[in-house]
Amino acid sequence: MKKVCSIIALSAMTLSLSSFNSSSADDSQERDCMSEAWEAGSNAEEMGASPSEVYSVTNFVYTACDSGIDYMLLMIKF
Amino acid sequence: MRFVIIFLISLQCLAQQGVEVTYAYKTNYQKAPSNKSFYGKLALKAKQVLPTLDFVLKANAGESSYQYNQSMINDASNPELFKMILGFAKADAIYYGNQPNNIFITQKNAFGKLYKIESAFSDLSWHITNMTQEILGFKCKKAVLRYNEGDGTNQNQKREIVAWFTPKLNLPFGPIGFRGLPGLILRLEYKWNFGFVLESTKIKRVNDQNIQKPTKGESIKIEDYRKLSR
Repeated sequence: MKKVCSIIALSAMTLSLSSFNSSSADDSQERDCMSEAWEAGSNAEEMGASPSEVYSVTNFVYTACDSGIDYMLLMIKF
Repeated sequence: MRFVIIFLISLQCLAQQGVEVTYAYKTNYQKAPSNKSFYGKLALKAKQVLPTLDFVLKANAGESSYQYNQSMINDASNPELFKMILGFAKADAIYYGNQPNNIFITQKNAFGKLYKIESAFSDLSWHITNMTQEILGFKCKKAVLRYNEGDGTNQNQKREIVAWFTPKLNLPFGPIGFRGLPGLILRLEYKWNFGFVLESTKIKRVNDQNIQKPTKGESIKIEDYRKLSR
């Protein structure tokens, strides 16, 4: 889980560096996304998901959240 | 007596020519998924979606491949979400086996990259029991295998696999990469909190069964792949 989050954190950092004009509101949005992704991944791991599934869940939640997509709604619509 | 001999000869032909086995998925959850977490919601969605799909094993005398039947999907509204749902049937990968060359490949998109995870065909240590049951008219024997999906510290990542195989079809293959038994696996029970059963619903005889070996993806040994997640 630590490794999964460090990979995603690294991607997030790259994103931040490539768009350093972002406002402080964007930064707080990013922090929320990190914690949402961490929580989703930790839950999956606790429930017994495999390491690659934990990675997929964490990455999906982070990417969806960062793009402003309601991933819980996506699931209902699926 | 004549009928028995003809039956045995036709079974032998079936093994030589090749087969296509269709499996149906049935959930066997030992725990109710929580509706509050994302993974719990995924588990609930998997319960709805996966029984509508078919899973297909193609095999000839030496090779096999297994994956879900892609022709059943018209348009997955979100491919990433769909892949995670497939994960609940371990069908988010293509499994290829080659017994004569002792090769097994799992082609899978994992940790952000497409991999061809290589292992030995003879890797699995089954415990074969004396229990039997009949599936699609074939007498099947029970075999059990236990392993952990992670590094062994998380008890929830423990898995128990029960395979029902028939020595009458002398093909050492089965669904989701379970293999190496002295007969084709016709039922597989994948036991954990969000487990499932794959049971064969149809066995079709195929002439000149052509099995495609996965070509795309970065090759990685199973031992190195396991290190990626630590």
